[in-house]
Amino acid sequence: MTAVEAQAVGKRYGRTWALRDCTLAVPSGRVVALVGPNGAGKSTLLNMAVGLTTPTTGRLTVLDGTEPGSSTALDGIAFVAQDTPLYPNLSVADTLRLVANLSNRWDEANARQRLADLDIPLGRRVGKLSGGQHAQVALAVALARHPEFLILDEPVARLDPLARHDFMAVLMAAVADEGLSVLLSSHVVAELERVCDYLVVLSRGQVQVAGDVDELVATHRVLTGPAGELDAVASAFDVVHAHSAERQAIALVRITRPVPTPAGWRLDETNLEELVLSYLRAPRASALPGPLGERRAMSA
Amino acid sequence: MTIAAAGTGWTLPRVRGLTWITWRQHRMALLGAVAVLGGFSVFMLVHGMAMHRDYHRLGLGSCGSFTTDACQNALGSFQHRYQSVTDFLPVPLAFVPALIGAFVGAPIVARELESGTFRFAWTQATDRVRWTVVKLTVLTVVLAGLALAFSALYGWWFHPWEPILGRIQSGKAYEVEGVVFAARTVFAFALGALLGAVLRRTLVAMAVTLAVWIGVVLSSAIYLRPHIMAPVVAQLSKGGFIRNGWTLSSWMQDASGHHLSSGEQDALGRQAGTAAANAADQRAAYDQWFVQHGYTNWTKYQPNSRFWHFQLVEGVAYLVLTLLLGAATVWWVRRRAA
Repeated sequence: MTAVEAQAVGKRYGRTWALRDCTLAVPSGRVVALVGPNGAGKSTLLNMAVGLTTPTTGRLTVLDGTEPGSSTALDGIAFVAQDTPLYPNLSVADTLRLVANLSNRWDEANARQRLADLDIPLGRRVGKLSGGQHAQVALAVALARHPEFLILDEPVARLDPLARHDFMAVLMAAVADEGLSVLLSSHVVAELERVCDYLVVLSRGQVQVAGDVDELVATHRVLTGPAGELDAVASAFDVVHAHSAERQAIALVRITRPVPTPAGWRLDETNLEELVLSYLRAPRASALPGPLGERRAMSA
Repeated sequence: MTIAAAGTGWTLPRVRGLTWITWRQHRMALLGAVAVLGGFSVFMLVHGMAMHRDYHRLGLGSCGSFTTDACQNALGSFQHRYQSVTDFLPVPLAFVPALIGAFVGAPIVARELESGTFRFAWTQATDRVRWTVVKLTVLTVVLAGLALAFSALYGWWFHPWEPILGRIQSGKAYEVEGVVFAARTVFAFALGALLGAVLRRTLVAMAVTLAVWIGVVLSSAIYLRPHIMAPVVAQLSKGGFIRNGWTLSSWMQDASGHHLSSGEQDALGRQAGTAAANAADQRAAYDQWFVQHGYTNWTKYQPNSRFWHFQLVEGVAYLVLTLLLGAATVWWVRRRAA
């Protein structure tokens, strides 16, 4: 069961490749974080998944092999685009009516209940809402379509911390209630730890890391010790990224089998943010499942 | 999915689906079109009632081809009072289709692309091909209806002038009456929609739409329209003219059929003048001189009776262009726009 499957997908705009040779299988029923620096190709990948962009090379399918943009795909996928575009001159009620008129399984009561819970007035023009309310309307409208798969492109990037928290809370409650698949792109990593259970790191148009969050955290450790011994110690480990500050060296390492801790060194657990940042600092390292993992050896 | 109307809004047409969306998103543009046409309509109603009243009061309705002196006088006073407006009004009106079409058509796709709302609109359960087709169709039909109604009103307003000026003259009533006005409105609309999709900027698309529309309409009216039907060539009596036709050219020729230049005509005029100088009736002698020497006057024109033929040919041509532009817009939205 895959929500999105990309096979050697590339997208070229003029002379630059936004995505290149991107192969990826996003499982369904998960909350997937798509992480990467600005310009990594996140939006391009998401726009392809909702049928707004077509790949230059390769093939991308959604919902177990469905063509993006087909009526099945459009019906099953709700998309909250970057900056949550809505019509600013429409009232909230007319925005609901507009989506209702485009939907096959619209749940008006659901949308109204969500907006009532957030105290968002139906009569107000969307352009007059606060940033947080605006994003909430976009989310409510997407959820009231009862999608199988919800795709969000940097939904909280422009929100203040409180609005960000509220948005994520609504999203998580909906995921818990309805069990839908979610693919969420962000460059704010800290926000994702509580929320996501699958991670995809995109860097320079390619997939760098893909895997279950718990598994990734379990197979990575932070190695700390004297800077002078780094090279000697590192050779025994699969180092993702290492740096030295004064006399101390810190390295994120990947552990696929039990390894003894070197004398005078510490091996600590890591977290999602540290893991993502280490990979982003070392664009040549990668952690990929299945046969894709073989590429690691080549690029390491 | 019956949705109750929101408390505040007035929901005039009880429509659903994309038709409702089209109305909700483009009603301001449509109301703008109605306002422009409505402004002219009010003027035409007020002015037309006075004009029709005077036409009947002067007895022009029973004058036939205005041969009697009484009719000539009545015609003179009617023309003196009303012809300047009649000559002027079609000039601004001829460009109204371009304005309406660009104003309603250009934003349809361009505004979505410009503001990023296409990512919202085109990722709903209804695909963007249907979205585009329905919007283009609904707005084309509404604009055509408005324009046809306006042309009908213009037809009523202009009716007294038909025996005097005819309807087929280029640049006059022909541009506003019949079906050409409506066909050009939907042509401008479809042009605006396509240019908006391609150029992705509403204002730029409007400006380019106006420019292209003016180019197409002017060149077709000047270079193509005279060839819709072979013109009638007729010999005129000296000083005669075709009252209500569309005169393309008139000339004098000699017995061998050679068309005389104006220089040659001036020279002949002086010769005839000299010859007629001593005659009792100088005017008759002057004219007689031309007849005696085999010179004749001719005109090439499109008769007024061909009005509908011309209107239909031109209207259908613009309609075909409209359909092609609409198809190109849908193709562009499907393949290229996002």
